[in-house]
This record gives sequence, C-alpha cells and structure tokens, in this order.
Amino acid sequence: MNIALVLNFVGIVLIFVSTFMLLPILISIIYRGTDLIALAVSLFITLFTGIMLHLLTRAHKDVELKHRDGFAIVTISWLTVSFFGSLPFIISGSIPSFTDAYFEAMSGFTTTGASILTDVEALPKGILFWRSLTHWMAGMGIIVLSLAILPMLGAGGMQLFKAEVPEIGVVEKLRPRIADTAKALWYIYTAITIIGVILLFLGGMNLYDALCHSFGAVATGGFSIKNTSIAHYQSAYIDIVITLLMLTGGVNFSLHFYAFRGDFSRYWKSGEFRFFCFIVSLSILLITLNMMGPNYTSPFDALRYAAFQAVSIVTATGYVTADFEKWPVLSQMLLVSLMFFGGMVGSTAGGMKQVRVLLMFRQAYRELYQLIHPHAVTYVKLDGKPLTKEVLDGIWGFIFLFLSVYVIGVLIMSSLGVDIITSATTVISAMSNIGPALGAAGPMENYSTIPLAGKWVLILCMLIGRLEVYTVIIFLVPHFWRK
Amino acid sequence: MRVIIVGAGEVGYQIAKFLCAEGIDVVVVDKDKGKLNRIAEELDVATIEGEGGDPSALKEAEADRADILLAVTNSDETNMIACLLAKAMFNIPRKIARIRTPDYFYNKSLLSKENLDINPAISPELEVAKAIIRLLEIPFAADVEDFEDGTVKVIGFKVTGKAHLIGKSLKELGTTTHQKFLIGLIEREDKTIIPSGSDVIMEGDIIYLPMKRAELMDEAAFLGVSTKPAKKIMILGGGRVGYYIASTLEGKADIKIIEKDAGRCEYLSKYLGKSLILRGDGVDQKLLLEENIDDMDVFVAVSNNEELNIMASLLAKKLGAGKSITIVNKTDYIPLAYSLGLQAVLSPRLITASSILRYVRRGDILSLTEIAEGKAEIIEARVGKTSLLIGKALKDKRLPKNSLIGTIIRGEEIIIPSGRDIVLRGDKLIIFALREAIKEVEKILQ
Repeated sequence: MNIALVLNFVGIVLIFVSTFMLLPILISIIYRGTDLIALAVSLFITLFTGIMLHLLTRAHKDVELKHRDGFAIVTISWLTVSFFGSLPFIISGSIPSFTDAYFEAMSGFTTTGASILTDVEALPKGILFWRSLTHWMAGMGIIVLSLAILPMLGAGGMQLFKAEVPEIGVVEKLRPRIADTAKALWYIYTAITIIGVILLFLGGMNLYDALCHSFGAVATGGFSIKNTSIAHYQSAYIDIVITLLMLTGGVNFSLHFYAFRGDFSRYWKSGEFRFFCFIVSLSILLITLNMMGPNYTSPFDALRYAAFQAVSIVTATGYVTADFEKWPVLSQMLLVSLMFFGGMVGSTAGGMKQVRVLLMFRQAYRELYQLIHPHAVTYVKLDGKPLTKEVLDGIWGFIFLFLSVYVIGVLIMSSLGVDIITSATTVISAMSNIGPALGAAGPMENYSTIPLAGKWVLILCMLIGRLEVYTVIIFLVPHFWRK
Repeated sequence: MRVIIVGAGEVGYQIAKFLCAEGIDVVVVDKDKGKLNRIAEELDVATIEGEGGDPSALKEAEADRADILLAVTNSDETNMIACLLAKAMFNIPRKIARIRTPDYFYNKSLLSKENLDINPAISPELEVAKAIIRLLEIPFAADVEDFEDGTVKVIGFKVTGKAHLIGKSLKELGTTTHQKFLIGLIEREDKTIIPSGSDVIMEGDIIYLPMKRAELMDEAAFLGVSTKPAKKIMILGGGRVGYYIASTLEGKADIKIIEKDAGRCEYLSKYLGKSLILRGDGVDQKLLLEENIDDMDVFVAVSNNEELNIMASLLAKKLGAGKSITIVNKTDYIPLAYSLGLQAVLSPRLITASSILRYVRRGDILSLTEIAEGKAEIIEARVGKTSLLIGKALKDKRLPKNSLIGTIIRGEEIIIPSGRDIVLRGDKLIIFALREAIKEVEKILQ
C-alpha cells in the first residue's frame, strides 16, 4: 500500500468536504444561528488538514494506483471524512460526546440516518442542515463526486470507482470516461433532488425543510429535522412525494441516465427493476392486508402507511410516518426481511441489493432444474445475457460475508447486554444503512441508549454495509499487507 | 469525439491508449472478455463484449453517436462486416479497417464509397513493408517517417561508438559545423528528451532529425555516414512482408529471400522473376556464408517467428552483414533487441496502430505519428487563423514545454527552422512533442 498516495487523495476529499461546509454556514447566517463559529472553525480545520495532507504528499503523485490503494483510499476517506464531519456537532456543543458525534456523522455519510439525538428540533438550523447535507454528499459516493470534479486519475479512477460502487459485473460504464460517468450520475442526482425540493415546497414545507428532506429521501438517508420524522407533517401529499423520492433513489441510476436521455424503456427491460417492483408491491400488499381492520379502518390509510414504510425500509432510507412496532407481527417481520434486500445496485440505497437476491434465486432454481435434467446446459441469465461463473461466485462470496458480518455483529451486541430484538435488528439496520430498527432503537426511539461499545460496533457495520463489505473486510486479509 | 474500436488485440490496445490520452472518448468492442478486462483495467475507456460483426454489440456501444469506427480484429471478414454495419445502420462518417487479404485490399470497388466505404483500408503487411523500404532507402537510419510525399523526412539515427557527435552539446555542434541541422528528439535508454542547446549527445542515443529529401547527402555527411541506398539485400521470411519488399525493390537492388516452406518458395519464384529464392533456415550459418552474407548491405528479418528474427539478425551481423532490420511483434522485446546491438527493430503492431492513427485527425492536426515506441509524437499540423504563433520568431514565442517545431512547410518551400524564422498564417508545421504536451500544442495552434 502506498501511504503517501492514499493520504494525498484523502487530502483532496477533505478539501471537497470542507467546501460543502460553506452551505450550512450560509444557512446559519440567514437564520442568525448560534452555530456560525462552530461551523466556520470546522471548515477551517478540515480545509487546513486537507491542504496539508495534499501538499505534504505531492511528490508521489505520478505513481500508478494499484488495486489495494483504491480500497485503502476509499475506506480511509470515509473514516476520515466522518471524523471531520463530526466536528460541527462537537464544537457547537450539540453532541458533546465524541462517540455520539462520530456515530451521527458516520450515520450521515453512510446514508443510514440512525441518530443518537433525543430532541432533534433543539439543534441550531445550520447544524441540522449539515446533518442532512452529509447524506446528500455521500449518497452518490464521496469518491464518485471527487472523480466527477477532478478528472485527474484516468484509468486509476476506475479502481476507486469500483471500490466505492462495486459493479458485480453487471453494471456498465455509462460514458467511455470515468470522469464523465461520475459527472452524468451527479447531474441526474442533483436534478432529482431539485425536483424533490420543488414538490415538497408545493406541499407546504418551507424551503429549508424541503431541502433537508429532499436530501434525506433521494440519498435514501433518513435524517429528519423533526422529532417525529415525516409523521410531523401529517400530510398524505408529502407522504406520497417522499415515497416516490425514496423509490427513485432506490433505483439504479444508470436507468435514470437513459430516462433523462429519453429512453424510458430501459426501466422495464431491466430484470432487476421488475424484481424490485415485484418485491415492493408484494410487501406493500401483504402489509396493507395485514393491517386492515386492527390498525387502520380506511384502506387508503393502510395503503398509505404501509407503502411509505415498506419503501422507506427497502430503499434503506429510514423515514417513518407510523410506529410500526405497534403493527401486527407479520408486518414487522416483513419489514425486517426487507431490511436485508435493500435497493437496486447502482442506487443510493443500501442492503444486499435486489440483483444479488434475484440472481441467487435463479441460481438455486437452476440447481433444481439440473436435478431433473442432469444433462441440460443452462446458464443463469440477467436481461437475456448469461453470467459467468466469476460473477456468480462473487455474489455468493458477498452474501456469505455480509451474513457473517451480521452474525458476528449480533453476537457482539448481545454480549454487551443488548436485548435480542434490538441486537438482531440494529445490526442489520446499520449494515443496510436504514436507520430505525426494532426494540430499544425502534421507529419512535433512537440509539442514545445503546452502550458505548455497541455504538462503535454499529459505526463499523454502517461503513462495511455502505462500502459493500469487500472494500472494508479486505483489510483483515493478511495478504493485503504483504508486499 | 467518440471512436469505436472493434478488436481489443495489441493494435486495438495501442490505438485506444493513444486516443484516450488525447482526450477522445473510446469504446472497445471484442468478444474476448479477457482482453477487454486488460484494457478496462489499464485505460479509461468503455468496453463492450460482443462480436464486431454483431449489430447489437455495436448498438450497445452507441455506434450512432460515433465519429470514427476502427475495425482492427484479426479477421478481414469481421472488420468488413463491422464497417458495413457502421455504414448501413449507424451512419458513422468515417470507417478505417485493417484488411490483410490482398484480394480484398486491392479491390477498389469493394472498398469504395458506394460499397463498404472503408477509407482507408490498412494492410499491416504492406505498412510494415513500406516502413522497411523507407529504411532501405536510407540505410543508416533506425526509423524513417515520410511527410509531404517523402519530400520531408524525419530520420531516427542511432549514435554509435564512432560518431563524432558523442559528448557534444547541441550548442557546440551548432558552432562547430557550418551545416544547418535540427535535432527534434533524443531517445535515451531511460528517458525521451525534447532537447535544448545544453543537452549533450551520448553513445546509444537515438536522435530524430527532420530533413529535406534533397539534402540527405549533407545530413549524412554531418552524421558521418554514407547515404547509398541498399543495393544488396537478404530477406529472411518469404511471407507477405517479404514478398511486398522484394516486388517493390526488384530491379533496383539484388534480392535474396530465405524461406523455409517449399510451397511458398515455389509461389515466390513464380511471381518474383528477378529475386533469388533460397529454401532454408535463417539461422543456418553455412547457408548464410555460402550466399555471401558478409557482402550484403542489409539483412532483413521478417519471418513470422520473432525470436528467430532476432537470432538471425544477430548472426547476420556477426557474419558481417552491413545492417540489420528486424521485425518483432511483442513490444516488450523492442528495447531488449536494441540492447543486444540490433540497429533497426520494428513492431508490425505498432506500425499498424501508428498508420491507422495518422488518419484519426481533427481540426488543424493533419496527422500524428508515434515515434520512440509511443513515448513521443510527430505532429503534422496547419497553423490556425488565430494561432498565437503567427508572426513571431521562434525564439520569441516558445511552444509549450516538451515540444519543438521541426519543419515549416510554406507552399513548396521547406524550412528547417532556426530561432530567427517566423511562422506565418497557412504554414504547415512538423512538431516534435512528448505525449503530455500534445494538448497544449493543439491549443496554441488554434
């Protein structure tokens, strides 16, 4: 691993993050908040560190980027960015404990949306805006953003891109150049966010609320600036708009890319999209039927809350409009199952991703088929194309590692004295970057009661989940450290 | 600009690498996943898995948005189909293809605008043969590139032990000789230099000089070598390359061809009336001596076996041949072969890539020629109407770092410039540049 090269790039990422801090500063000035100095100091520290790192390691710029450097750059960037992102919380005194502040920042950057704050509304507006902005900056990937703006890496950029947005062999490059691909993704992402702001603004939110919630929904983050999340607004229109924004964020952005170019047929041609629609519709239908009567008398209400919650969980956003812990057990179990699924690959959502589940399902079906026709030559296909054994092996490996990390996480959590429901659901909620879980960290509670060590376990789970396991776990492989 | 390359072999790779560095969007189509992976790992290009002759693969490559299609697979048929599809379905304005088979290559109507519309077709063997013939006309050169129909030549010259240039800086040389000369590039073992007056020439350097054809004699005198074109040539390998060379030079030079295959020998002796066809092995010392290898001006090794070519060239040199020209396919072998003491080592793939690239031109750039294994380029360009260079003496308006004007072509007049010469509107320039400087050179020309 080339430490100088890694730090050099981390420096650049920090410089980017610091420029984003100008936005909450602007908000703070507009609202005459008490957090102005804290934000300005954070910006200065981040910018200074970034520039120093970049300048001190300059000489090593021409060296070629290797695969492992790519992994190191991405993981270390995310760890560092979360540290500097937590500065505004600490300096302003909003979240005095370092662990809590780091948890909140990591939760923001990994678009988890799990919070340790009990009274969100008490925080100054600038700080809250920063909290929502962390979602938006990282939703499409911090590194991807850097690549879009700095086309300096050429083919090396592909290593970084792959480390941050694992492609699993079925995602194509949208444009011949990596920098152009990153740019295209960011244009679409920004456009969808702006549409979201306008729609929410029309629904009666003020501009500030609309921005924060559009960030949270399109990035499938889940931080709200209200204590009761989206339930605060008590508006069916807002529920529907947010549901649609979350769904959009959970769809592969390359499909949006073609749609923006006028080719809408790609949506339905994508097997993963059809599967995603199927899973989401089926869950909504089951939960709605399950809740009709005991929980909601009107079918429209049942559908509205069921749809919002199912979409919020499957896209790993984590906004809530209802206390789903009061829902029937089947509905709760369905939501927990959806936590594992996650959104589509190439989206801002977390989880194991729909395409992996779909392909494993097809693989399992093929095994059965071969038992019946032992001489049959069959392939697992996606969108009509046969997949190579390497791709399928990669998916098996991913699913095994994901579930292993999950089991180990749950074991550690329960060893810390956390109850079984809370352990079992907070770990998957963190790994899939969702936010709310069940039990002590349910939709109406928060993570403040989790023990200190448990918070660090969850911080790690969020990062592992966001970077799709391989990029972080690879540091534990001894071969990574050998020359 | 968007270019689609069909074929991810060595030629496709070299072209993609070059175009990508130029800031052109490149999409590579090939059916071999392994080759595509190698390209995607190393270059910032898009890759599509599929047959070049498959419309859906080209569609996936968004061929309708492409400006140029380069078909460089090993198969003529695939290349032609790709070009045909590009014409019929995607309306790509320019199609360039590698065409090997002479029956296709020389079929004017097949390739014409009405039919395949391939412009131009590049025959790798013919390009290699042409490069070798250029070298045979100027035997002391390690590399020769022609411009303006050969009236301007850029010559690569390997500085060997006895040359009087060694140890002198360019400034010194300028004062000690009364001849006008210009060195555009120095290729040294570990680096490639666009020289300034203080650079010193060392033994083993390959220096590139632009020169007028008419002044070849003077230049040769300056370099301390003789200019006589090769009169006695022995060619190892009677394949297409060997055949092309022999058929072009027959009558102008005495040619002996060594070929192992009996059938091929028969074919050669049928169509090459004046050449001597020998059936035998290129590393057969007896055969070489018997055929007076020590009397040969040049030994040309163009068989299909690159290791054999290298060994035979070494042997020929040891036995007293004047000069050797050696063909190797693997680019990694080129520096190795030079370090063994061979004088001119050519790679057919680099030559093919380079001759295709000459036609991928944009705006004021008329052609780009790779030299020094692709580390540097010769840019042939027209001076734009608003170029910053116009009206300035070269010493006042410097080109970007790592680039240098080698020749000014003004109508019929050819100027090898000194610092006092002035660039005018409409001039054509021949510029030496390291790869990283090309973008800036383009900018200053416009």
